[in-house]
Amino acid sequence: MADGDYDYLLKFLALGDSAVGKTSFLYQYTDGKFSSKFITTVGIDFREKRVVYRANGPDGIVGRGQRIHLQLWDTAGQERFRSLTTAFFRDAMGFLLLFDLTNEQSFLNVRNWMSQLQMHAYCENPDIVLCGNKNDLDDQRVVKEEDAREFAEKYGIPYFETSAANGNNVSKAVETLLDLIMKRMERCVDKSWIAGGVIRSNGHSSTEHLEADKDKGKCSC
Amino acid sequence: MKTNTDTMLDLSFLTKEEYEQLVKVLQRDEELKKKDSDRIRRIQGSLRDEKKKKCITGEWFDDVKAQRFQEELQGSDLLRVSVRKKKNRTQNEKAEQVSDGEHGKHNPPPALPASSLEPSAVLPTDERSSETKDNNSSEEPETVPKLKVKLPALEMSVAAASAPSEKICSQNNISPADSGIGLSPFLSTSNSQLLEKGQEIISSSPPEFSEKDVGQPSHLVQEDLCKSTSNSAITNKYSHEETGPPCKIPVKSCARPKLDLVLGNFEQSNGDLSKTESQHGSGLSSPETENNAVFKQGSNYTISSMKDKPKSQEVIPGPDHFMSLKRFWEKGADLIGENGDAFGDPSPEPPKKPSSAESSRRYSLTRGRTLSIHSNKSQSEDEKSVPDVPYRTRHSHQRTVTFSSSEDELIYVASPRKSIPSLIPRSTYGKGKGLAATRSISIAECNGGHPRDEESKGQQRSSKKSKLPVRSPSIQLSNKTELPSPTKERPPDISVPTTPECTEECIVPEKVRRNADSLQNKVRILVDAVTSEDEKEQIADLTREPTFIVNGEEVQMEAPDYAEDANELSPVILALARAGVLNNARSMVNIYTSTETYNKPQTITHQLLEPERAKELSKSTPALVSETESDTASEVSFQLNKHRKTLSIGSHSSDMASVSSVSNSVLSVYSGDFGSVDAQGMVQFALDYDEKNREFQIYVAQCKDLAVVDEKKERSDPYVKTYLLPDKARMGKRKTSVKKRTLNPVYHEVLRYKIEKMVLLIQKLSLSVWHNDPLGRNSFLGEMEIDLASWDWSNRKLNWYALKPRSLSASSAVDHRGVMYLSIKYIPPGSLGMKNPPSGEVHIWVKDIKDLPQLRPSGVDSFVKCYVLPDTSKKSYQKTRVIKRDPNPVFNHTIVYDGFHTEDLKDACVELTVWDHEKLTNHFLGGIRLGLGTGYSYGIAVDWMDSTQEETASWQEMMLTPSEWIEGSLPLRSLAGRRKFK
Repeated sequence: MADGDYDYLLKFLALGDSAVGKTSFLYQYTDGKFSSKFITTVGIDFREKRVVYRANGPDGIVGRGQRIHLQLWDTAGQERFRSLTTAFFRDAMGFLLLFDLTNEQSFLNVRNWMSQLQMHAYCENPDIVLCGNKNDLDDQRVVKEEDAREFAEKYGIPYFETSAANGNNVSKAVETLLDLIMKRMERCVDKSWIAGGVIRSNGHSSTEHLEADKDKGKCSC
Repeated sequence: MKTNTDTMLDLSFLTKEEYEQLVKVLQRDEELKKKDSDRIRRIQGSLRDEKKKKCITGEWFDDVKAQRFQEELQGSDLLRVSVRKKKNRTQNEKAEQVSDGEHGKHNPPPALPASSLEPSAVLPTDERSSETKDNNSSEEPETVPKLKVKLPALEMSVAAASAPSEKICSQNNISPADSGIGLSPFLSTSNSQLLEKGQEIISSSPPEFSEKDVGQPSHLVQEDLCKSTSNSAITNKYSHEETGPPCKIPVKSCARPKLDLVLGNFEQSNGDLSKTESQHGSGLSSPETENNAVFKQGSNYTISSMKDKPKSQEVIPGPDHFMSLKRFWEKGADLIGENGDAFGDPSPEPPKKPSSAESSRRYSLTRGRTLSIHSNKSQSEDEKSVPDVPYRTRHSHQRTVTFSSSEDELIYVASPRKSIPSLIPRSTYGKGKGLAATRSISIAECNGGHPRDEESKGQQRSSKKSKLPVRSPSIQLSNKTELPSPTKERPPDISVPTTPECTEECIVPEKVRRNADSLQNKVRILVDAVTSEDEKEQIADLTREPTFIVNGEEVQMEAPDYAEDANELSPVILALARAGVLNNARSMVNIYTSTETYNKPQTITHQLLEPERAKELSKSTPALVSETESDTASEVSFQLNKHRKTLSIGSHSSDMASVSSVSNSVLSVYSGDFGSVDAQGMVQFALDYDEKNREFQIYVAQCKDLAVVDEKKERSDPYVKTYLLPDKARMGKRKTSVKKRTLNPVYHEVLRYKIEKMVLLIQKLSLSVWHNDPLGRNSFLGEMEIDLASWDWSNRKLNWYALKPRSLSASSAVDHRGVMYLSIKYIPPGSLGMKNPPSGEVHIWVKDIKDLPQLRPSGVDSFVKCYVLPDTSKKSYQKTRVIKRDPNPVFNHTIVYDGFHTEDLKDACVELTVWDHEKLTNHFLGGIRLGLGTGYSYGIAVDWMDSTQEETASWQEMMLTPSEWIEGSLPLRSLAGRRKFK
């Protein structure tokens, strides 16, 4: 890659139970390839991809393309790597939470993953995209789409049914996440408050800081 | 600080292949990071739009993340550290080879990654943790236990030792090195050793490394760091690193016969260190004002220079690298200059910095002599320019000692200013310690570095050890001697220097570091806070002094002489001499106050204040204001309320306060019940932990032979009460029923605490027996404490325990909530010129807090709320950010309230409360109230005008000396009449 020839470095992280297809998902996304061989991820890994992001302004104007360098962290789903992988949660700006449509348990565990994220991510309400993977294996499917949708809605996160094997929705999921991140970024900087340091509060009459404080407390941007 | 043995990843389960895979991933990540920081550096200058900049640099994210994970390493860094650790463990024997191999591999990539991978290299955090954990090295064990103990004095003093403002950074860096200079008798040996080593190093050192390591990492890292929000916490962590590297160098060189391999390791470790340093630097710059950028640069500058230093010694830099360095420095220098103008630069350093930068540009050889004063960078440059003269550079490092001494002086200056004479000696003491500590830091660092080296090279170890006995004693002695006389401030400093190079572990490394860290933070703030012109001048003066010394032809020689002189001269004389210099520095005091304060806190708090307070307490009737308490925040104040002195005691009983009543009982102890009856008898109980219900159960069976309270009636009405310490506020107390008229009560009751076992294990069970007097006060009949950490949980039988009299220490421990270090300043309207400020301003600079109680196993996540009473509206509400998992949080947060008229100061009260932040609730940890403590505000009797004597003294001093920072270290206390506010 032409080094540093991009505007933003964004870090995403894929998580979910073991063997739901995180690695394949990312491989499909970055390289457009699929291998049915199962190679368990050791702890963590990452892939990179360059994309161009065009924000759809509220007025429909498409802005200049932003060159994005994606660092896509892949994590081991295996329990034994858990402490290792969760340590990486905090450095990711967005999350791809995957489960296996053919594996009920992996869907049930999504809830746990969500709480893991709430605990270990950079803030309590990070941007997450939920992906029900392996939707090409229709005959083996056990998780109903409506259940998954309902779940996602409850958490207010986008949901996609994806297939790392044929690439179905893979890019879309990532791009949705990208969009979320870019928007959050804007919110963040627009709102940027003064944190710590010298706060000039006009003593008995300052409310702005209070609001800032509140925002801060919520940790959402 | 408390980095995270607990958060360190356990990688023991990894197979070798897995492990290697991980390492590769980390390596790739590092490359990406490097690329990205390159990119950021490139574009940073061209970006005008702050917002855009934040986006592009990723700063927005770091900002947010910092709110949650201030002090945490990045996941990858953490892993790196852990990996290294693992390597250390498993591959000790191979260490040499590995390091070699790794070098080869990693050199090309940015220095950082390589270093991180390197087993020998230690990240700052790693070092800390590794010190505890890793201690393979026999040297360390002693220090480890100490680390956990809080030595407030030391920490504070250390902080103090480091100079305020940016200067600190540089000083820190330097100081370790100068310690190497060794003013003490040991000096000669150490020097010679150094020299020898230096030669070896030079000859053996691989030039290739140096380039990359030196140049790139620093830039990259810095920028990286810069973009991340500066967290004081981070800074803290890393600050000690700075000291580390320099000291390491001398040590290693001394210790190592086999330089080649060692060097490799060494350099890498440097890289790591530098990284941390740079982080640190960014942290310093953090004060999030507009100044940000500028400061960052400045601080970075210093810091980075330091990092260069170690490498520079061994390396002969290539021209490219050199150029980039130069550019970088120049930039830094310029920025600094701007800074100075803009801020009136409180820090003494600024003037110097530019000079150093210039010097670096010139590459003049002569510089070498003055180097000690200047930043390391210049040194390194010298080396580069004159590769042949490696010696010199090395010496210059050593010379830095002088510099440090000047620093000491500065500190010293501050003390005279103190209004409280008694404090001075103490503070001095603290300082002495601090200095020692600082130096010791270097030692510690060395140690940290050593273990690995040692592993690879057992032989040298022995030599090191032999040194130990000699040096360590000297250090300790110096500290002690200083104590008695306040004037002796000098000696400590001097004596301390000897230790630096020795590298022995006698000193507790962690503490020191922490101090240093906190210092830096403080310094930073100081810079912001202080801005008057005269100060600048004075600073310049001060700085000059040290320079003078340094400038001497043979700096090397001079430093030692100087030290010797100092030793020989009586402390008084020294003090006087210094005083001359110091007088000018009056305003400087402000700057340095932070240091002073730090020293003060420990000693004062613990030694002076506690008794005083105890007295107060005993006198006082508990001002038990009707406090209802939510479990979390409730507190009964037992502090003497001046107005309430006359209140009758009657209201107080141990029963009354539901949760926080520990203080009550303590109170009652003090208030006279304590001691009225001799504790005697025994209590029988059993302990169990119900895993299923997650419940701690205390089965209280009975007591026997209890003391008689009512002698006439030969009667006591005993009940048993328990607390979990120090968690009393959260878990509350449990009591049995009261058995009347018996000295052998039988209860057979179970007292239960819903508590996680993990939490329980860090508690102490305090079980006490009381006589219940519904009309008067409850009387203490005896108590016993059990440290639950060491409890044998398989023992569920009933056992008899003897009841003991209440130990004062225990009770004061119960009460101890930590000490807040702060400075306050009142700026009267118009004092800065026409209508400037338009109204009076009260500045509250919350520096840090030491020794916060830990309520949870995960530590305390504290923040400070501030109100200016009587205004309890949101308008008067300010708070600091939350600092996670640090019992000694450094806030360095300045709050400014305006709209004050001078008269208002009499009726207002600044209430600072410290809270443990949890998701759902915040727990009150303690607070202070700065006011006159009159009990009245604008003519209305209020319960919050209850400032203690110390608090009042601070406030009064602030009123009396407008526009000056009044520093204070005030013990946190419970607050009467605390309103419910969230």
